[in-house]
Amino acid sequence: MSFVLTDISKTYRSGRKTIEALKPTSFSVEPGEFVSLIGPSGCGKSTLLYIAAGLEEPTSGTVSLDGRVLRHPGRERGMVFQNYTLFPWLTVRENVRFSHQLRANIDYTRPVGEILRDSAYVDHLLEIMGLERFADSLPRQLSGGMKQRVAIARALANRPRILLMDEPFGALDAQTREEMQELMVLLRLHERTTIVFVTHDIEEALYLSTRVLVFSAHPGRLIEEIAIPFPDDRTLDIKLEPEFLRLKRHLLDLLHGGSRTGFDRHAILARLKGEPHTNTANNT
Amino acid sequence: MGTGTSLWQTAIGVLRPRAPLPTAIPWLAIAVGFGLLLLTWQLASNHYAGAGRSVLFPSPEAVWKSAIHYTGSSPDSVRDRTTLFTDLGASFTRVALAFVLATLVAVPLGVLMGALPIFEKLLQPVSEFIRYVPVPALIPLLIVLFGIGEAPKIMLIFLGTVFQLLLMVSDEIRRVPNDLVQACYTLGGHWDEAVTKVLFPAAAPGIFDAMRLCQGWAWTWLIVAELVAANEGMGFRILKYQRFLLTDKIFVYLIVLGVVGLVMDVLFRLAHRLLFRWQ
Ligand SMILES: Nc1ncnc2c1ncn2[C@@H]1O[C@H](COP(=O)(O)OP(=O)(O)OP(=O)(O)O)[C@@H](O)[C@H]1O
Ligand SMILES: [Mg+2]
Repeated sequence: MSFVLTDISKTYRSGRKTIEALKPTSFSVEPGEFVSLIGPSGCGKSTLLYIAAGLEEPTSGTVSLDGRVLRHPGRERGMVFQNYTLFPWLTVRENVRFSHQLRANIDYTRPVGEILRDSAYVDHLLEIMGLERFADSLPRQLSGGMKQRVAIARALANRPRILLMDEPFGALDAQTREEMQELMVLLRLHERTTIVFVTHDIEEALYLSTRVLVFSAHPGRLIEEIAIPFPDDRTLDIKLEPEFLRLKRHLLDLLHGGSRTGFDRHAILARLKGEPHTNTANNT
Repeated sequence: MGTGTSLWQTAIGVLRPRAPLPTAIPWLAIAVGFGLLLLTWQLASNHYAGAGRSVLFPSPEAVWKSAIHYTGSSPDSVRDRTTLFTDLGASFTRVALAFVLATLVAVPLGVLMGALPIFEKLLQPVSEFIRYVPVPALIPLLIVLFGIGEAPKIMLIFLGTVFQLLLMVSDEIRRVPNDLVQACYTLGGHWDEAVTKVLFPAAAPGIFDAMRLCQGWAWTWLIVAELVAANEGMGFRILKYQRFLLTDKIFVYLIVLGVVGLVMDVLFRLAHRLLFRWQ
């Protein structure tokens, strides 16, 4: 028993209208796992992750770590956001070591040696992220991929028990994205980080995860849980393996087989050809 | 292709919205702007001179002569120069004191207002209300309360700027992306650290800009304050020169005020660039 979400639901209220973003959802994450949450846009993936991080209050349900209920954000759950949320006035190194100067993370009874280890860990993270040359650069001087590497390093520097990532590579170009995916595989291999990862990229979820949780469209509901059978030590080659393609096809069917968010291929084709067409898309 | 065409093309190109200007054009435009100002001034003074009342509205030339007089070494020049520097010193001191006071009050309160909704509700509506009370209307009250010394003048400048600054500071804090605060929380930051280590540093450039604007307004309130009751100061002297119809000297004072404002602005901008290199 490690990181457990129990019956988490979320309904947004704005004035008289209520929007049910997430139906009651439960799942747990064991140490060392890489769990991806996947689903169509607007199905409440971010909402769920923000609740897991303690940044958003659930309408019902609890978040707990090793049996302890967590109601507020805390250092045990690191977070990487979709947008680059680096502190623009700090250099790369200062960003990465930001958590080390926060009160919650300073233990005054620690021996000096451990404090030195903190700064060595920052150097280590900068090194494995390929950022040493940019340690004294400002965030605005970095490319998107580098910014996100800094954000990951910043979250890891705090040695969180679990790392929450909300579409961290969503804003990156295809090639940088693939590089970042390889980096994640290596990171998990060597740092033994437990990760919950939100994406709507099926390949990304399959390539990175040990387990994929599939959500249905609005309002979000957990519809399937798939264990991914590939070894931890994987390379991009697995994307061409039959098993990978089979799982990909399965996920595609799950996500796009039902009603996609208002997208009806036949209706559009018919309209493009100028044929009269009765609307078949209203099958919510 | 004659030069006519290319000149024409340049003219059209310059009129394209947000078009970058060819090298010499910006300076030319600045010169033309000041030229137009001088021309208008000359024409206006001609009008008064034609009516035989050139003393009411001196020509640029007369003001230039007066300015030269201020740099001379005759006893008259020395006396006028001393007066000018005394006035400038007195005015500057008032502006500086009021501005420092306003900053000390408005920045911490504005940060709290922007960061904590409870402070926003507590202070924002009140500040908005007071901001729309015309500050000059407070002068009689200030004189009753503080007499006619330095206190009412500094209070007037203070009141004229502090609420504006307060609202601008809280706006700057509110403009900081929520992501940054959330990042701080997930790294283990407490609420006070979210304020001191994220909100304030993120908003600092905007706050500094607000301070720059406020020091500009402070000079406006200064003149209002000094027109009412003072023994020295730029506003006081202008009023005094009006009584003796020394309009050329009034113009010299106006120009000095303009230059001082400009210099302060440039200094603030320079400091901004040095302080916030990360932008
Ligand atoms: N603050 C809010 N107020 C009202 N409704 C909200 C709010 N935040 C999210 N929602 C709604 O909740 C639903 C889920 O949003 P969420 O951002 O979690 O989706 P998502 O799965 O992350 O989508 P995407 O893939 O586009 O990021 C959406 O329908 C959204 O409109
Ligand atoms: Mg999202």
